[in-house]
Amino acid sequence: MKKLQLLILITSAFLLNFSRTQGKQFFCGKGTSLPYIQVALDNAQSGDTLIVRTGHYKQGNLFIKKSISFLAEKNVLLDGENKYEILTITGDQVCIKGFTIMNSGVMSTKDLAGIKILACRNILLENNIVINCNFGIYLSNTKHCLLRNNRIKGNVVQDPNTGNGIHVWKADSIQIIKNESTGQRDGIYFEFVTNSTIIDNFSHENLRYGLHFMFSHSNTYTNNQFTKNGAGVAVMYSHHVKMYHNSFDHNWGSSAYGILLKDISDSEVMFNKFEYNSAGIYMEGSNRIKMEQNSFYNNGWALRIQASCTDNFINRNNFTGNTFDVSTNGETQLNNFSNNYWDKYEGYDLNKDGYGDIPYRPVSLFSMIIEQLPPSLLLIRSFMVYLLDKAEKIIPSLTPIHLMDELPQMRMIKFKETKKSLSSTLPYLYYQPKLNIQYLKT
Amino acid sequence: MKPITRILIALSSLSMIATYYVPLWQIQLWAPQYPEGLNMKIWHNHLGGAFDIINGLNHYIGMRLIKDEMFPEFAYIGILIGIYIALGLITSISGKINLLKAFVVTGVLYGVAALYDFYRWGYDYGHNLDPHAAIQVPGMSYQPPVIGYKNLLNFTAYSGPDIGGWIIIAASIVATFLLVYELLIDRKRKKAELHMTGKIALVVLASTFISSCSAQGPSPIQFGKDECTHCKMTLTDQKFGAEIITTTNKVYKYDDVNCLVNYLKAYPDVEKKVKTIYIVDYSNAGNFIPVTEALLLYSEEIRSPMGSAIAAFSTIQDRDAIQNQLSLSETLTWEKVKTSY
Repeated sequence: MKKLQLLILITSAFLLNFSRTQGKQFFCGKGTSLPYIQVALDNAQSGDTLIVRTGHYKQGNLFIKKSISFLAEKNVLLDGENKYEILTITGDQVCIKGFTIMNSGVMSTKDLAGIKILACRNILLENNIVINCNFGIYLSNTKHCLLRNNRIKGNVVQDPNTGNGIHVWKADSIQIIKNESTGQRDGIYFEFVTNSTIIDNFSHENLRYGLHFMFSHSNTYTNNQFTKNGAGVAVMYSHHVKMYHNSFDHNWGSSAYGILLKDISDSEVMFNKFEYNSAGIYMEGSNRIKMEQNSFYNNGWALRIQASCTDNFINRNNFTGNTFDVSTNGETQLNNFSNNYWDKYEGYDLNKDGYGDIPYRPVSLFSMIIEQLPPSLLLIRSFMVYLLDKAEKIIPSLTPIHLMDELPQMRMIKFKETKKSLSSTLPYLYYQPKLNIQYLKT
Repeated sequence: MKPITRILIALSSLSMIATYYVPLWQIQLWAPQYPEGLNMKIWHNHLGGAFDIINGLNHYIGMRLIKDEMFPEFAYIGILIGIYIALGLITSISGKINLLKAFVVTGVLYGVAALYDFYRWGYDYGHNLDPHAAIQVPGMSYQPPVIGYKNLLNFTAYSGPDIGGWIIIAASIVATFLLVYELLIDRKRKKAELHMTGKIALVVLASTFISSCSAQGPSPIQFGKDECTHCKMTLTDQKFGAEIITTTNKVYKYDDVNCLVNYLKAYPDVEKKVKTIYIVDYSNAGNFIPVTEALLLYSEEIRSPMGSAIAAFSTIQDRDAIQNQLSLSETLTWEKVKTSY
C-alpha cells in the first residue's frame, strides 16, 4: 500500500514538473538578443517564462496577450515616461513578478494604469512596485486574480486627479494580500466586486479613502491597517460584507471617519480597532449590522448613528476616551445596544453580577446640540455644557429615550488577541520589495 | 404730541396695511426626512404653505385635517387689524396723548387675545385625536408650541410670527416707545436721551422693511473636503460634481449628477425650493455651468464617481473634442436625465 502511495506521489510530482517545464525559459532586455521586450512577448508561446534583465526600460506600452510568466531580475524599471500605460494584460493565466513600474501617462477619457488587467482570469501579480502612476493596478472584468506583496505609491500631492491604488471594477474572486497603497485617491477601490478578500494590507495617506466599496457584495476584509487617509474607509450600497480585525486610525477632518457605512445591510463589523478618528463609525441607512468586540479609543465620536439605521446590534464593545460615545439625529432609535463597556458610565454594581445596575445612555445632550448646530462645538468642556449634560442624565427629555445600554459592563472587556494573520503563512517566492526612492533617480 | 410722534404713528399704522398681503404667523416642522422644513403660513383670512403635506403626515397620528373652516377667526381678523390701523391714524391726526395710550393698550390686548386664542386652538387640535389612528403613542399629545420650539416625536416644531406678525409687533413697539417718549417730554427730561429713543424707534421700524436676501452665485466645491449630500462620499474628481442652491440660499453639493437627481426624489421639499442647479464643467475642472445651459454627454467610457457616466460641457467645441475620443456616446437633455433614475 505504501509503495502504491509512493508511486502516485512520484508520478504526480513528475507530471507537475513536466507541465511546469513544458514552456521555454528565456531572457530579454539589456545584453540579450531580444532588447525590445514587446518583441520578446510576441515571440513567446503560451506556457513560456520570460525573464527581463536588470535595466531601466522606456519602451512604451507593453501588451501581454498569452499565458506566460513574466519575471524580472533585480531592479528592472519599466518607465512610462508620463505618456503611456505600462503593462496591459489581456491573456489568461499570466504571472508577473518583481517589476518596478513607474511614471504612467494621464488621459482625461481613459484610465491609464501601471498594470492593467482587462477581461481575463487567473492572474498573479506579486512583488511589484508601482510608483507615480495615475492608477496603480487596475482590474476590470476579471476573475480569480491574486495580488500579493505589491507596493503602490502615487503622487496625489502634485496631481489631485490621480486615480486609485488598486482599482477593481466588475470582478469576482479577487484576493488582495499584503499590499501597500499610498498617495493615491483611494488606496483600494471596489465597484461591482463579489466574493473577494482583502487581507493584511496597509493603506495610508491617500487623498480620499483607504478602502472604498461600492455595490460590492459578499466580500471580506480582515487584518488591514488604514491610517491617515482623507476620510478613512467607505463601505457603500453593499450587503454581506465582513470586516474583521482591521485597524482604523488617525482619520481627522470635518467629514472624516474610521468607517462610513452607507446603505449597508446584513454585515459584520467585529474585532476592529478605531483610534484617533473624528468619528469611529458613521452609519446612515444601514440595517442588520452586527458590531461586536470592537474597541473605540480616543475618537471625537465613537459612533455616529443616523436615525435612518435600524436593527443593528452593538454588543460587547469597549468605548474609552471618546469625546462623545454615540450621537444621533433623531428621537426614535431602533438599534440594540447591550453589554458594552463605557468609561463614562457612573452607575454601581451592587448585586455584583458584573453589569451596572442602571442603564447607560450614551447620547449626551450636547452631542444632540452639535448635531443640529455644529459651531456650538466651541462650548465643549465649558461649565454650562457640563451642567446641561448632568441635568439631562437625571431627567432625559431631549436625548432619545430608547437609546441605552441596559446592561453596561463594569470592567473593560478583554478581547482575545487578534489572531495571527492568514497571509503570514504564505511563502514568498522572490525577494521582498521595499519602496526605494533611489529607483526614481536612475 | 410732537410732530415726529405723529408722523411715526401714521407711518407705522400705514405699514400695517401690508399685513393684508403677507402671512401673519408661521408654523415650521423639521425632521431628518425634511431637511428644508415644512412651512405652514397663517394669513389674515386663509392658510398657506405646506399645510397639505402636514395634513398627510398628521393623518397617521389621528389629527384632524387643517383647513380654513377650522378658523372662524378668519372672518374678523382683517376687521380687527383695520380697526387698529384706523385708531392709529386718528391718533396721528388728532395728536391726543390719551388716544395714543388707547392705541398701545389695544395692541397689547390684541397680542394677548391672539396668543390665548392660538393656544386654545392648538390644545384642541393636539389633544382631540382620532382613536382609530394608525400610529398611537399612549399618553402622547401633539399640541404645537404657542411660540418657540418644541419636539414632537421625531419632528421639531417651531411657531412664531411671520412678516405680517412682525410688522404689527414692530408697530406696537414703536407706539410704546413713542408713548414713553411723549410722557417723558411731559416731565421735561433731558432732550439728548429723548432723541436717542426716537432714533431707536426709527431703526426698529426701518429694520422691518429691510430683508437680508442677497443674490448668490454657485459656491465653489472644496475638493477633498466637501462631501456629497446624498452619498456622503468626499468630492475628489474635479471633472464631476453638481450643486443646488435653494430659495433659502442653502447649498447642497453632490459628487455626481445621479446623486443630485436621487436626492431630489428622496426629498421633495428640497425640490420645491430649488432656485438653480449647477453642474461641473468636465473640460474646465471645478467650473460651474447652470444645468439648463449645459451640454450633457453620456458614455459608458466616462467614469464618473457614482456611475452616472454623464459629463457636462459649456461649449460644443469642448464636447466634440471629448466625444471624438469615445467610441460610443449619446447626448442628453437635462429633462431626460431628471427622469432616468
